[in-house]
Amino acid sequence: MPEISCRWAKTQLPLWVGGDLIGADRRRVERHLLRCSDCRSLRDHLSQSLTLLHVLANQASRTSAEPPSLWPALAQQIHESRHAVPSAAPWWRLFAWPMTGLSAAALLIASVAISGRPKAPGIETPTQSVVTTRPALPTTSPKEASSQALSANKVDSESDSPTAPVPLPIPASSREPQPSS
Amino acid sequence: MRQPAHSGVSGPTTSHSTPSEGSPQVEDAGDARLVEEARAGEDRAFAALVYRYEHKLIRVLSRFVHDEELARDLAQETFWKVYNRLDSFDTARRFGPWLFRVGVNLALDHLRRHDPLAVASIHARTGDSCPAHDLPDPDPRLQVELAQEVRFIIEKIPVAYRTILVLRDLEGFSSAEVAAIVNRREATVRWRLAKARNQFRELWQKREGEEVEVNHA
Repeated sequence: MPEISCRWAKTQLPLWVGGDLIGADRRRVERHLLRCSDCRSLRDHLSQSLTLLHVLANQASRTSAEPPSLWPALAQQIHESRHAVPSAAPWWRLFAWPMTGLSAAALLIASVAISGRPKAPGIETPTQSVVTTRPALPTTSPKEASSQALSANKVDSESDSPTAPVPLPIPASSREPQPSS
Repeated sequence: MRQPAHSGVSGPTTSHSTPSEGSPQVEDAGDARLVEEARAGEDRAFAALVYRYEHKLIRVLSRFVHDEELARDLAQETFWKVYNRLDSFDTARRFGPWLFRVGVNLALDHLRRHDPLAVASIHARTGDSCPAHDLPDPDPRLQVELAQEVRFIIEKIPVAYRTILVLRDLEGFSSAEVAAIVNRREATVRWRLAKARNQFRELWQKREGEEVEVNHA
């Protein structure tokens, strides 16, 4: 077995004192200790240090009484997390999509009803009809046509509508869509 | 996060009974099987893991944070984290080291957030009249004081080495187990262990030299 240096032995002694050195390395260190007083001194100090560490280890295990288990609190945590899932989403979210659909449908029906009410059965699309049957009037958009129809049916249309009833002349600037610059 | 220790909660799948109160199979089952069952929603299996490891985990965490209540909180946080990560756990590996790794990391994170220099000197607490201890004294009161001083010296060791020392020499994990907990190679752990033991010896000898000087002055 080759001779080992003190320097190497000193790096291994902390493991040797704790029984963490095995096999050939352990035997090498033990052979070295037989003839090296310096390393034997270091071994004694290290053994003493380890004894002190074991004092602390035993102290903690002796003083610690049996504490209550963590499981009840953990079980509660698990239980709450499972039951928190449905409440995480507000109740109204359950009805969000149906309500959106219903609202859209209601709007559609209302707009159809509103835009269809003043029209005579024979009248075609507003733009087409205006252009073809009333060449004197400027072209109107469907929105304007429907607002005109609304105005026609209002009891008091002056307060909230910028447009006058259909028979009145309307300034062309307020009706025509502005050309984009 | 702290909750009443024995708060009564009853859920359809949440059992508060100890595994020993239930089936002995759960108590005797291996960790891997308990993890599989816990994944399947069997709370009794996770309870068995908690009962199996909680005391050791709290003790290990106490070594780092030196506060029993804080250690309990960290242990509960550890189990909660582990419970939520059960699906990602490889049952071919060992559950214990994984659990302790999560716990030790939480404890080290806690230590990083707090100033380690805030730890008061043991000499400030015990006074200079405290005798030097060469060997463990059978008197329990002196043993407590000695343990405090040992703990104070351990605190001076850098955390990378201290962690290994605590797990190996105070908690008795094998080198292989420590390697699994800190997620390092066993050779690295052994090297750090040797350094840590040597540092502890140097610090202790230095402290003894200082006490001798104080007593002679």
